[in-house]
Amino acid sequence: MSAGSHDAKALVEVEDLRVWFPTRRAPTAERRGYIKAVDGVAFTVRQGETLGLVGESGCGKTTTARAILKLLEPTEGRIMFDGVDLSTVSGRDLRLLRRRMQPVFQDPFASLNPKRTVARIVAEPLAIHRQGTRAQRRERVAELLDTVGLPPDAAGRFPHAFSGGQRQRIAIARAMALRPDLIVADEPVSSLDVSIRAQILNLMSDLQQEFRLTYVVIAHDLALVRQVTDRVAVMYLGNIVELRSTEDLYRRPLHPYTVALLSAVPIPDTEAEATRQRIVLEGDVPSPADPPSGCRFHTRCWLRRKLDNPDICSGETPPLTPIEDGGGAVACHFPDEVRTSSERRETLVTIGSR
Amino acid sequence: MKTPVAESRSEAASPGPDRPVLSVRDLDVTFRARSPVLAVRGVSYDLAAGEHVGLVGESGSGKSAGALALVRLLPDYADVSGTVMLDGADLLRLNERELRAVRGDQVGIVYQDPFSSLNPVLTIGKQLTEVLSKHKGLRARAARREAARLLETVGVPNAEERISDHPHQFSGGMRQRAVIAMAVAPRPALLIADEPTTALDVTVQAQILELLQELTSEHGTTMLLITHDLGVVAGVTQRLMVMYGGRIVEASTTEDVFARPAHPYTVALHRSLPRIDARQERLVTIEGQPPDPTRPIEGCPFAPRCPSRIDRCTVENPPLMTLPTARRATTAGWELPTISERDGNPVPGPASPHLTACWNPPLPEARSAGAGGAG
Repeated sequence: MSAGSHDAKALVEVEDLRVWFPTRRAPTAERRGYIKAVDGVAFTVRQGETLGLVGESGCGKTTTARAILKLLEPTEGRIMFDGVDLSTVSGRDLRLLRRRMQPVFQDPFASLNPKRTVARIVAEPLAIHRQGTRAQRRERVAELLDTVGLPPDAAGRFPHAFSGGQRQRIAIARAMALRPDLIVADEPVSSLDVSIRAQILNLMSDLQQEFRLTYVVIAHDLALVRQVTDRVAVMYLGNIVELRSTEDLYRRPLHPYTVALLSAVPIPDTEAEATRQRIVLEGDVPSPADPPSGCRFHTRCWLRRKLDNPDICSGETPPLTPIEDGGGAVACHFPDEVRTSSERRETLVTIGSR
Repeated sequence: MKTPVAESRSEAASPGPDRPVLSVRDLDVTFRARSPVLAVRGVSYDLAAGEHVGLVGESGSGKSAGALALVRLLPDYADVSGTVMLDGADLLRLNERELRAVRGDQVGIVYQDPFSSLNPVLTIGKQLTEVLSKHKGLRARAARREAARLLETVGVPNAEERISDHPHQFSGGMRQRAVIAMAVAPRPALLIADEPTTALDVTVQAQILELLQELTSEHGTTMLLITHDLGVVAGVTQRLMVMYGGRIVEASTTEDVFARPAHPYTVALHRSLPRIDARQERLVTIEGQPPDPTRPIEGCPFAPRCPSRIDRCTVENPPLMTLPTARRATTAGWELPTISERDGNPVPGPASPHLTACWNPPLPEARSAGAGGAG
């Protein structure tokens, strides 16, 4: 969506975030019974930008988003929203902060109360935060419905009367009701039909420009992420493995996992599909209850195998390190080897060319 | 339209090189309800031996209902009519016992959600050996050996041990591998894969697509791949059928449909897709909604959303027609074929030309623009 300028100030700062969920069974003694959904994640979200959080299931992207919204408490680490430490606020201050950050969920069939009219659903945040009189709220609802492209008579109807795309518009209207600064959208279009997705993505882009919104968009669809984000954090098993500007990530990926992800995405083009080389990763994502030692990706890493399994990969966790030329950061012991690999070259022949 | 296929029933011969493995004619599926849902409206096509054919459409397009109807796996409140000829028999007219023999033996099925197609209380091995003893007549010990071998073929590591696991102990990708092992074990002539990778992560999706390719090519199995994802079919299929509003609206080789889409819906769908290999300034949207399946459609199902709609589109449903390449006018648009000029009712099949159900198919320039994305 709109490009956040590089020196824009940070709206959200996430510092060494860890979210562990206790489990009853302990896989090994030293890792007694925790699912380490997010395990040491740091990034900032700049005012006006769209940051994408991508990764496969279990990578911690949704947990990270929930922590930003203070829908769950971090086990360790700190989240700052506009300079305020979220863990220190409560009561009235927290309510005031909450107005400024709103979620949009994946499934608009589950996120809208079927027994309430659209007017009541959209006005609910206003009612909870005691904004305006009844008449003022009604007026605001009409304004919001218009903003998201729904007819005025939608207000009196119930969610079941609307299609998936229209329901997501209702959910977006509700998120916009309190004039937030930040919208955290978790897979906002993945439950919608392909022909409807573009409508919603364009709407989100328009709203961002008009209301100077900051977005955190969580998605597994890498094609969509290229379209809508300014920067991307690629997550794997609770860690960020690469954090780059969107164009850098898609044109000059530096983590072997990113390269594999990019190479795995099917392209709706027979010519591209016929000529491309695909890196097929072996196996599944390991369990976050018992993550691999060292670099968490090492058990599936194509580069490690190619380099004849260096000890450091399984022995030491690579920190997220700033990249010298150009912005961003990568967490790999061998970024130069990624840079010069034929695997990356082949992947970029198909996806980085345009 | 049923006669030519119905006649071949008596011969009951195995499909030759030019005889289709599967012949579907005039398939209608209606779900009975207070307002009946017309899910599939008059679908016909042929599949040849060893072909990989994609059936693409959005939810509600009828792609899944149409495929499940082939082996009568729809609930009781679904009315199915038409003919589905497989190996000389009309599947829609078999009794339940005959049908059970066909499912599995001749037609294997892989669903979207591998968890729902496995029995949660039985071990993977038990479920596999059941298939093997039923369809291949193997005895207990032989079946178990074969089950382990199959699991290994589909890429389950430590198959010997994992065979005693229950489905919940398998990851999503491994479960789908087990389901595929079961579906291909009896060496069916036809494999129906209904969104086989939709529930999986992208790196696992790549593995499963590769596996399906490998196994079907190895045994010359015909595969009908049902998906909403144009990316998935691009690399895996030779032919495509695009469904919209319960009908096939375009059919040709996969290459043709991508390079020269000939239906306004296909063109629009292409343009609205975000692509990993290019960032568009702004996504092109398809305004409006898919048609309401509870209402009869007058004219073309895509007409209300179609940018190249002409008067005829709203009153008369365009049947599948051969793309009139020879009769192309240079700038004024297509010279439209009259009904009498149409070459019968062409049916999508291995040798059929590019077919489109459109009275005003997109001009070649527009078509190549649609395929090229933002290039």
